[in-house]
Amino acid sequence: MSPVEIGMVSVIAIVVLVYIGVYIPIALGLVSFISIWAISGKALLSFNFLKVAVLNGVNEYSFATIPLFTVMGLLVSRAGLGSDIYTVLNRAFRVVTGGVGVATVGANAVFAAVTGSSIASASVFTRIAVPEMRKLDYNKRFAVGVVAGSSVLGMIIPPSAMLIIYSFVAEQSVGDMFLAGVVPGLILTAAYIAWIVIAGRVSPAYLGKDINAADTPELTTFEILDKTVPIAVLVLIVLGGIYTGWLTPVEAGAAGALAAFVIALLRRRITWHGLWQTALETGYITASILFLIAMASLYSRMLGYAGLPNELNAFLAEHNLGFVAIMVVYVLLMLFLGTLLDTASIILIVVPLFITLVESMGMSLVWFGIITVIGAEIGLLTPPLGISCFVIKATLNDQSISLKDVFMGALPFAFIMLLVLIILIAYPNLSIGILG
Amino acid sequence: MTEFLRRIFLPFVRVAGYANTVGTLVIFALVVIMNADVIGRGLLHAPLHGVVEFVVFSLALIVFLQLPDVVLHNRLMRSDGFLQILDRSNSAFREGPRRIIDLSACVFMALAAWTIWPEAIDSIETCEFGSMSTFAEAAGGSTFAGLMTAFGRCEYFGTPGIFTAPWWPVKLVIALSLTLCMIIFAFKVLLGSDAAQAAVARENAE
Repeated sequence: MSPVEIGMVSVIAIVVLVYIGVYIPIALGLVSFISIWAISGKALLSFNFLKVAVLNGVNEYSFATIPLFTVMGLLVSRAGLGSDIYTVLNRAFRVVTGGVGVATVGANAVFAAVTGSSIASASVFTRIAVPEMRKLDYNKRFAVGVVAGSSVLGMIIPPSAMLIIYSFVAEQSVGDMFLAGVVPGLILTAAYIAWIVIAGRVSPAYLGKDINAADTPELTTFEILDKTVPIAVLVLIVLGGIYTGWLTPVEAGAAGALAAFVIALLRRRITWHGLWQTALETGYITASILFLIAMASLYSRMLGYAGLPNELNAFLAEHNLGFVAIMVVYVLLMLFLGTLLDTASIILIVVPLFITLVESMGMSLVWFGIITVIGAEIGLLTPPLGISCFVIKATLNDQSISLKDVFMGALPFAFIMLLVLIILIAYPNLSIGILG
Repeated sequence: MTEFLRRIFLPFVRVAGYANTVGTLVIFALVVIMNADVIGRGLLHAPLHGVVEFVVFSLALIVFLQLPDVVLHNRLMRSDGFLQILDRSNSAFREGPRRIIDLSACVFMALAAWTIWPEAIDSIETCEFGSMSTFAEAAGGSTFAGLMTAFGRCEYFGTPGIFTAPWWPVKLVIALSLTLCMIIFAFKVLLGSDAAQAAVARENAE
C-alpha cells in the first residue's frame, strides 16, 4: 500500500474504533503509531513520533486555558449564576407567548459566556427550565428541545472548550477564536428566539395546547442587580480583558476563575469540600482533554507524514471543485460524523485533513474554525449519539419523557443551526469581522 | 484468584489517588500564581518572573499526575453509545469487548512508557548526581551544597538568567504515570471493568 492509502485506512480505522468505544486518545495514538511503522517500515520512527507527542504534546502555554476556564465554569455552576439569570429573564419575558422558552435560550446564551461546556448548560437548565415548562403545560418535546438546542450555545459563545481545542489543532490564537465566536453565537441565539416567538404566533400547539404564562414573582431592583451584576462582571473580565488585549486568554481564565471563586464565596455557595471537588473535577477534565490533544498531535503528524492533506488538496484541485461544492461536502461530512462521534473527536480527526486545503483557497482559518465547531456541534443534537440529548435524558427525573422525545424536540433546533451555519459560511465577515 | 488480584490491585489504586491529590494541588497553585502575576503586573507594575515556564511545567504535571486516576475512574474520553447498546442486549457478551479495548489501551501505555523511560533516565543523568563533574563547578563540602550544584547541571528548560528548572522531575512523572496507567489497564483486563470499578469504589469508601 502507498503511504496515502495507509493514511486513508487509518482515518477510517480511527472513526470505526472510536465508534465501537475504544478510548479516543488510545485509538488516535495506537493507529497513528502502527501507520507510521507501516509507512516507514521502521519501528524506531514510530517510537520517536510517540516520544515527541507524549513529551511535548501538552507543553504549550495556551493549553492552560483548559484547566482555568474549567475551574471558572464549575464555580459559576456551583454559585448558581445559571438559575439567577434564568429567573431574571423569565420575569422579563413572561408576557411573550412561549416566554419560558425564550428565557431559557437567553439564559443559556448568557451562561455560555461564563462556561465553556454544553454539558454543563444542558444539565443546569434541564433541572430548572424543564420542570417549570412542564408545570405550565408546555409540550414535553418542546420543553426538552429548547434546553437541548440552546445548550450548544455553551460551546460556541466564548469561552468554549471546542474553540480552544480547534485553536490548538489549527495553530490559531485562542483569543482570536474566542472573539470570532461572539457574533455567530449571538446570531444563533437570535435565530432560536425568533423561531420560538414566530412558532408561538403561527402554531401555538407546537409549544403546548394551553400554555400558561409563568407566574414569576416581581423582582426588586436590588434582586435584579444581585442576579445580573456578578455574571456581567465575569463577562467583562474575560471577554473585555481579551478584547482590549489587557489579558491573554490564559490570564483571563485565571482572573475569571478567581472572580468566580470570590462570587461563590460571597454567596456562601462554596465549602472547602466543594472547592476540592471543583479542583478534582478540573483535574479529570484537563488530563483527559490534554492527553487527547497530545495524541491528536501524533495523529496529525502521521497524516502529514503520509501526505494525506496534500493529496486531498490535489484531488480536489484536479476535479475543479469550487468553494460551494467543497463546503457542501465538508458540511455533509460533519453531519455524518456527528451521528457517529463526539464534537472533540470530529474536530481533531477532520481539521488536520482540511487545513492545507482551506489555506490554499485563501480562506481564514479562524472562520473555518467557527464553521467546524458549529458543524460538529449539530451532532450533539442528532441521534444516535447526541451527547446533549443523552445528558438531558440522564438529568431528567421524568419517565414520561423518552430519549426519542428529546431527539424529536431537538430536531427543529438542529435544523436552525444548519441554516445559521450556511449563513456563516456565505458571510465569513460575520465571524472574522470583529478581528478588524 | 479474583480476591488475590484485587489485593495486589489496591496499592496501585492508592498511589493513583495520591498522585491525583498532588495534581489537584498543582491546579490551585496555577490559579494563584497566574493571578499574582496579573495583579502584580497590572496594579504594582511588578510581574512575576518565570510564570510562563511554571505554567508549562504545571500542565505536564497536572496531566500526568491525574492520568492514572482518570483511567481508574473511567474518565478517559470514549463514546460509549455502542457499548451501552451491548450492555442492554446481552449480558453474557458485554465484558468481552471492554476487556479487548482495555487490553489495547494497556499495550499502548506500555509502548509509550517504553519510549519515555530512557528519556527520563538520561535526563536525570545530566545532573550527574553522585559523580564529580569534569566540566561544571566542583561540588562543595556538604551533601546539600553538592546536591544544589548537581541541580545546576541538569538539563533544564526556561530562560537562563530569568528562570530555569530541571526537566527530569517532569519526565520522571510522565514515565511513572504511563507505567501506572499500563498496570491499571492490565488489572481492568484481568478483573473485568466492573470488578475493577467495584474495587476502586470500595477503596475510596474506606
